[in-house]
Amino acid sequence: MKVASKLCAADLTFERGGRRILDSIGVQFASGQVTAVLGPNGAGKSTLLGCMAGLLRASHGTVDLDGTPLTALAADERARCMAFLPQIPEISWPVDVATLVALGRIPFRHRASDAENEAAVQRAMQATRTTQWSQRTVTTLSGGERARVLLARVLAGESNWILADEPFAGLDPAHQFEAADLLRSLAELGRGVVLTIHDLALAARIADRVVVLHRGRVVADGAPEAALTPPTLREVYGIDAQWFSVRERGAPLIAIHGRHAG
Amino acid sequence: MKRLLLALLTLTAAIPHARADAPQRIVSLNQCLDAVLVELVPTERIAAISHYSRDPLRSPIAELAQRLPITYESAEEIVALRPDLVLASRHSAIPTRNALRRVGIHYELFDVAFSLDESLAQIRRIAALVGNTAGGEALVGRIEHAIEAARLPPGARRLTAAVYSTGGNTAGANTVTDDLMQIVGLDNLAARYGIRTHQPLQLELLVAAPPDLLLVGEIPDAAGTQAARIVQHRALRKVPSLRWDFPVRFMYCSGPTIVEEVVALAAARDALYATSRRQAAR
Amino acid sequence: MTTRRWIMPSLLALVMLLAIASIVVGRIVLGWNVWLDQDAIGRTILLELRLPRALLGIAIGAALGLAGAAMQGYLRNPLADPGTLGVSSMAAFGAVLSIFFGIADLQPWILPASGVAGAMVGMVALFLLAGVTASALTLVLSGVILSSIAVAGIALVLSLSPSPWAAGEIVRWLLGALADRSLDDLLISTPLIAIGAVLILGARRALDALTLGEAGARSLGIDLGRAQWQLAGGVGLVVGASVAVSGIIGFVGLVVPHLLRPLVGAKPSALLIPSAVGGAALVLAGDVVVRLLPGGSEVQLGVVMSLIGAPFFFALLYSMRRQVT
Repeated sequence: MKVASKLCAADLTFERGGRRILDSIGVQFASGQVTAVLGPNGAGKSTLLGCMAGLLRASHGTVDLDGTPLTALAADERARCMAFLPQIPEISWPVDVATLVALGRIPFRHRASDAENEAAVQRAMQATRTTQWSQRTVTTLSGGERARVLLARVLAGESNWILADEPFAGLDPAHQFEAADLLRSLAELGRGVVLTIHDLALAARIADRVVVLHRGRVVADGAPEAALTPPTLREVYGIDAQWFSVRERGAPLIAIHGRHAG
Repeated sequence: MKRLLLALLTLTAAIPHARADAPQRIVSLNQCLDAVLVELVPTERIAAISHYSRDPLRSPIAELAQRLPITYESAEEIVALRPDLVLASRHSAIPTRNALRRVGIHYELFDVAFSLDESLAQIRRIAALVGNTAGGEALVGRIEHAIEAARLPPGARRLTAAVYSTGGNTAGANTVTDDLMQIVGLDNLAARYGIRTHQPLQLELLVAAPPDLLLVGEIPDAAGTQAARIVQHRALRKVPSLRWDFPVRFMYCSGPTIVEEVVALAAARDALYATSRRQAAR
Repeated sequence: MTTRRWIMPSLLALVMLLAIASIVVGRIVLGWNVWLDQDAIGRTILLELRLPRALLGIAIGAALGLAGAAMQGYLRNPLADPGTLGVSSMAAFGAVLSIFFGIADLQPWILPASGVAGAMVGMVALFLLAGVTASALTLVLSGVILSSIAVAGIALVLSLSPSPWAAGEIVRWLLGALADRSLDDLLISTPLIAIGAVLILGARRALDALTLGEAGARSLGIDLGRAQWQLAGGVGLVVGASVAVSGIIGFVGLVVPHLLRPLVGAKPSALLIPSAVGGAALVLAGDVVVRLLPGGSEVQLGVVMSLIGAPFFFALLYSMRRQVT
């Protein structure tokens, strides 16, 4: 059972090219739940995630992990606590799947034995159902299959926090749900999962909590149904939407009617 | 009897003979040094010369070199010959020289001769090294004799000339060719334009101020085709200078080649005088 | 997968065979009695000429193969080669300057030391041009600038040469060769190559992590800035020391990682040491070929490498086109 962990941003500001991409953002992520960061294109979702992962340096403000500023952690240590899945899937070399997943154990090269690393890799591949591709060259897989392998790489780190930037892009609906279920199960085990998604319906289904960004500011923060009210959606996305329940299936669904007129 | 003995002693003193400690296994790594060497020592004392000496295009002793042992200037070959004297150019491969130094083989370094005096000094230096100073003086004497025969007669008109060889290269201010041209009575166009050593001569300069005489680098017939004429540029066809063959190998080496070179220069000069006399007579 | 285990032993055996061939082949035939007292000349040739040449072939080949694999791994581009950072051109420029100013033949160590000095100046210049926080692209562009300056400098030196023979001497040195190199050259280059190799191997985890791209690598805790300068320093030392001694030998760093990638796997760290051994084999093979080609003078080693490189690119292009259609 993992200890509860908090990842907090305080007064986070990020400027580039004269533009203020993040404007004094204060937000807290908790472990044990799936948090989705939403917002239209250019809202700053990826920038926020990058700052929370310690990969981007904010112009102002701090990011703390359980009270310790990220900048105070050694890069290795931070990598052991947090795994990051970049938005653009880059695989530079035609390595086999097992090798690629094993890259997730790089932060543990001095901390864990070869056997422990190998076991973690196996667990990650089993969880993502990629074991059967273990010896296949990654570049021979389809886009969706590669996405699963890259997710396995993230899981191999068995880190407390998983920050994923658009992890469902390029996956077909069945695989989207599969990946979503996987992330949910990790959260239930006590890990912290923070995602950026642009698919509102999927976010509504899988997230415990959503944070909505609009022009660099947080405009909504809460459970999906509470945060994604029709007025908010109208203002942020310019769309008309409605919530409804499909009783047999459980979780409420959001249906998007179309662009907001006027 | 005493006078006969004295005469005999003087006679033996005059005969050039190899001293007992003179080098017996001489290796030369440069074709210009080879050309001097073969004039100064009998072939038994030559362990090897440079393989470039067999090149009929550039070597003054190509035919003789076919009968002499050669090296390709690698350290291995030189070491295997067990030389007691090695002659090398300053521009021979530095790693090869380092290797010779390392195994204790002594070599003598020669710069490119940039003047007639330097060329003659090199002949004397080689002669001293091989223990044949008398032979060196004899060779120098032959060269100076040929130069004197080619010297511009007093009162004769000086002419302008330029060398135009492969790649448009000419003989500039500090070259042996320039010194010879001065003596023969040819003012070197390249020197007037400040060109030093062997650098390209721009065609523009030739066309703008054509010299009386154009000494054209020519590949000997041994190379084969008539089409091997170097000077093919259309602009050059309009240059009214008298053309004279000036073999490419005159540009590469001085030393004994000077004899042939200075004869050619004088012949070119005299041909031009003859031509202008004919033209004046018409 | 078991075939991969045989790659390293095979490569090492190949290097041993080629090293023996390099010692045996040459214009002077060495008899088997070379170890007996009678053949002092043969022993001299063996110990002072053939042996340093073979050892240098191994050292320089390993240096170039390693540097090539490192550059390709770091730039994530199979067309990168050790010369990309411009340090090899600067090393050549330094050496050429020592020949031009006539100091190269005063002592045996001056020419290689000038080459190494050129390489060091190149690395400092690279650092100043690219800046500490340079991206890979900035680094490569800075390398291109350095290369251009060095090549222009060499051209200027050639045009200012006092005679065609002086220019010819410089050109011959530039074309790359191991002929007549001695123990002195080995003693100057090998320590620097060793230090550079240690730097490169120390950054191998960074190379692996870069398989996931820069963001992915940084998220795995890799300090990319430090890794970049560690690799640049390692490659600079390794390549600079090689060029300073042998002139420019191209294509080894480009070709060897390519050839070994299908055999050893594409993981960058796994490619480093096999590329070093493969590079040693390739340079030794080329150095044997230059002595076996007909025609008296040895062909320059750099020329032979280019003759290998051109068909290699043809084969690469051919296989790429087949994949597309």
